Amino acid sequence: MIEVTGLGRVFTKRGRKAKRAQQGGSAAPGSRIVALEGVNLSVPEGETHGILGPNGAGKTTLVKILSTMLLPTSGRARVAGHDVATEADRVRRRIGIVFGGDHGLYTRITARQNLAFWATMYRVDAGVVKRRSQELLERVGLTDRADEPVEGFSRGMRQRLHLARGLIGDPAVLFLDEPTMGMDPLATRDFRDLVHELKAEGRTILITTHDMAEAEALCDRVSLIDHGTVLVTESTATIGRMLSGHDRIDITLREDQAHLLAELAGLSGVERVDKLPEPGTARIHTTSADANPVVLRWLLDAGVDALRTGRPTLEEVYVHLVGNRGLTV
Amino acid sequence: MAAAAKVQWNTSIRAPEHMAIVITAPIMSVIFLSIVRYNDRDDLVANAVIGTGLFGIWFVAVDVAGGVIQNERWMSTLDLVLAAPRAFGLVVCGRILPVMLIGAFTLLESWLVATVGFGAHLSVRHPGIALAALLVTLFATACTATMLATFFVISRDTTIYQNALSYPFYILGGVVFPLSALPDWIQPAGRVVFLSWSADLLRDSLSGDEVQDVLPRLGAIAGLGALALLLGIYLIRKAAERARRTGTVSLA
Repeated sequence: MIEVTGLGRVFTKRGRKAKRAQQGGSAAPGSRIVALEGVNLSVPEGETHGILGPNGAGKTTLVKILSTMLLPTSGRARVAGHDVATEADRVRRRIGIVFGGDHGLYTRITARQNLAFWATMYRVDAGVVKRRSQELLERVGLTDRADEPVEGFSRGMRQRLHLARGLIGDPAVLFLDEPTMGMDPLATRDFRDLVHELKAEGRTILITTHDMAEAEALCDRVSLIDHGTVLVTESTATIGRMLSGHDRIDITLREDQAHLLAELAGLSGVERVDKLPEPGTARIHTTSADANPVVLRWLLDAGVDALRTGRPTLEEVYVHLVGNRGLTV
Repeated sequence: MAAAAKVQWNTSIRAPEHMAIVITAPIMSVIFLSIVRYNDRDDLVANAVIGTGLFGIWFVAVDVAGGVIQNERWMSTLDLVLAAPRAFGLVVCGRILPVMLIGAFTLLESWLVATVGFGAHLSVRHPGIALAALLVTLFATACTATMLATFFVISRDTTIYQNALSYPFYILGGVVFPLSALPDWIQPAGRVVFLSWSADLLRDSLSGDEVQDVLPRLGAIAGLGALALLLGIYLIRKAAERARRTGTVSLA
């Protein structure tokens, strides 16, 4: 449903200074910004695919190209069987776009009026507009506020209206760009439930996020993106295994077992032992999945009965691959 | 277009700033009429009234055309509208059309200032022609402002264009002074500005003389408007493609 091959996007700064530098072959650093480079991606029909990356990684640029808002400077992208650069009109009839945050709605008119306008923009038959708007308002739980101006809506309500707006054209492909940005936990949970419903309907969904929990909760597969390139595309479960290829073991030691930490570090099959913030707790990283039963047996024999095994979270994978660079972009 | 018109109407009735011209138009009327009265030229009262009305109509159209694009940018809806299947040019035109009523209201205000405030005696000798000329003018104004919206799509600062595009139209449109008052060499340029046809026809509709060539003159106003709309849809499409290429649609 979405096929991306060698996709690239370079932004060129405008202005005489930047132009002179480019013409003279001495483009100053920063006059050309590579937002995407050599991106390959394949999302089959019905898949919910996550694009994960830090701020400035190129997630939104990718969505803008796929939704025909922006042209690529290299490579190709096809959505619903049509080229986004040369067949934009055909692509537009098959997609829905939902941005996160406060913007993207007409705030001085009501939710119902917003949907009616966007229905027309998406060429929905006049006879269908009322019914579909009502259905969508019910679906996103905004029936009671449907005839109030949007400027009085909370962030969560606006985001649900965004989703309804994105669905007004009954799209086969839905792009969700940071859809839960700034939403409180309850609103986030409700929104994710709605996305699950859409997924069950067989729609293809591309969702960008920097929230690991969101990707794990919603996506069949994820692509990690950074500095405009895709680092890896895998199922969420596979990516979790990629970090170390094994489970980790969390243990809680009594005071009289404290000496065991040093012994564990030297044990065959143990890669390293990290102390956790809670007193007496630690995390054991093993060298392979085969080492786990051996280490577990050793712990039980040593009298450690407070232990738990688990897979690395997507966040750990993310930090491992992207690097622990915090807010740096 | 109708859907866009509804959005604009529902927005405008909740946005006092869209009504600013309703306050400024009477003030302008007072200025123009005072000049006329000071020079003892009551024969030019009709010019002042119609001039203020057309000024208001054009002002509202350019203000909304620029405002629509600027607001769409600020609300991050411009990206979404440009990426929707419908032609954006029609949306712009649809949004300008309902505020034409506000523009037309300034004509009424100007009339009231002249008759009540200055005690002028104005009568419409050919009301049918005046109404037809006004309606066609409103249509042509919305269409022409749509064409000008191209500049607003390209530029991130619409205010410069809003101001720069207003005055040439006032002058070439013969809004306050008839086109014949301008130098000979500039008059042909005024003939391609629909406002010059509108102003002449509206002034003639007030006089007692028989109005000549009504239909061709109405046709000229409507034709110039329709041409501007087609050109506007084409140019906005081109501007949107350019913005897609350069990545300059949104502010982010």
